[in-house]
Amino acid sequence: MSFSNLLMKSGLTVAVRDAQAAVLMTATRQGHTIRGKPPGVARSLEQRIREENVEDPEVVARINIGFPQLKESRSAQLKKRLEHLKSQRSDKQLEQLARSNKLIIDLDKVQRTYVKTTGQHDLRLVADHYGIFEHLFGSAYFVPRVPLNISYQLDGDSLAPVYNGNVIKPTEAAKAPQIDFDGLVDPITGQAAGQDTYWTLVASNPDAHYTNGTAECLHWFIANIPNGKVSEGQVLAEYLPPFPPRGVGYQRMVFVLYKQQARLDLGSYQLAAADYGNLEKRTFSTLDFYRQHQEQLTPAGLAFYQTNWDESLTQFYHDVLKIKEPVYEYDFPKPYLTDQKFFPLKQPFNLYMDKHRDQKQVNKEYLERKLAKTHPFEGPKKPLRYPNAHPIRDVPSWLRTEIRKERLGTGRVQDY
Amino acid sequence: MLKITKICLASSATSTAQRSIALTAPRAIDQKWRAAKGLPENPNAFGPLTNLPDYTYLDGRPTPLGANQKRRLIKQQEIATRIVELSGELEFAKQRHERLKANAESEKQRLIRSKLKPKGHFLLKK
Repeated sequence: MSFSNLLMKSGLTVAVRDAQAAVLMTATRQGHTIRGKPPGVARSLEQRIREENVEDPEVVARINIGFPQLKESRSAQLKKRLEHLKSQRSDKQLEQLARSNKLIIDLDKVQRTYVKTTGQHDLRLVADHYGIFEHLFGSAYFVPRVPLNISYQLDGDSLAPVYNGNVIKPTEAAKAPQIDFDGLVDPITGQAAGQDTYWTLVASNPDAHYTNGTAECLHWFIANIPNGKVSEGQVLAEYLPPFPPRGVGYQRMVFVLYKQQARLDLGSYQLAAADYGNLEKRTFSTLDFYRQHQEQLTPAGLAFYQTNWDESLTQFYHDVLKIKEPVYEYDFPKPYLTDQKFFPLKQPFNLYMDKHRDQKQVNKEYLERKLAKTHPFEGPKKPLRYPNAHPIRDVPSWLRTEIRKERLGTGRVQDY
Repeated sequence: MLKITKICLASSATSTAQRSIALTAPRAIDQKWRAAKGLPENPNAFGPLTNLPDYTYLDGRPTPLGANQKRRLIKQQEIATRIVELSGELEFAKQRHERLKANAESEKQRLIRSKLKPKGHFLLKK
């Protein structure tokens, strides 16, 4: 009812005579009102966000640049699985082992079967989660068909394997890892290739470039690997250990294995021995490299790990890279400080004066006072056993407070 | 409730009718007849008595413009200048909109063309 009170009042007497009293009571509504549209009609948060972040499906469409995989039909797989199950159930020896709690499951065999079946798809999902494809290939992706076994040699007989994003310290990754993959198998059919195969291995770090945020740092480049023998490949860039700077957290080191159609001449990517530690020369772009050779190369294998700073990198920056070690720390905003007043009321004068001085100078003066009370050979004085039992006389009250707090170890001494 | 509505509507109509009466000079003229003839609403704003000079010289000299004539001429010039300016801005806005749309479309095409060649199951057809 949008009529004004005057009109309502003038017409009320007429309505009362003709209409019933119950009709009037329905004009008013008690209780709260729902703001906006009811829940079933209004847009949900997901819908609202989707409408605000409109994406063109043609632009964001992802492209598969990897190998397909030929598999037998599902009925054949099911038949094979059922036969395996039947043979397992009719195995008397297996039954005896199970009943006597002596059955040991061969986990290596389980791992091999997993790698052949769903392991590579899981690796693709993990790589998607860590942004490997997005930062290396843009809107492209691939399912790695060739399992890569990469491990770093540690002291003794220990190995640090590279899984799908585990953490390996720069100390453990100081030397070139051992790489093992089956180079004689066709990635599409899973059968023996029958002729010589050539592979290319690229190890790069998308997070390690200091000057170009979109480029990568090339850590290792081996081309024309014959039949999976990495040691016989052509090394275009010698292995450079990872060097994550202090304070930036974890960096990703990605190994990508490409299958070549034939022998390739990648001499233009050769890194001279004199430029081993030159980071600018190690600028690399996987997307540009692959775009240039995408008719001859197809990505077939993938492995990556994470690494962060440790103490051995100080020596590495000094000796190998020959640069000063960078340290990243958070740049906190400065606390707000009003202009200095001539008469700061209700402020302790010593704290107020120090607040407007250079903090480094204040720290220096504290250190000087501390060293002045320290004997050069006998060391600092022993702290008082009962600090408050020793009277502090003939000093101003603010200085008495300072001395008392210093003896107790509270107050400003904890700031230094 | 319907009766209340009727009474209120009647009151509103009465108030509106009373409040809408206006008495001004142009209203006394038969505007319908003038609109049918293509004449302006205000007879003094346009016409021979307004636009033509009040006198002429017998020897053919041009008559100087009157103050109001000059003011109307200047006003017309300003209006024409304003029309040209605003039309230019409108044309620029249209061209800019077309240019931005073409740029967005070309950028989208560039992104689509810069994608890598798809492989995957396409390799099986070789």
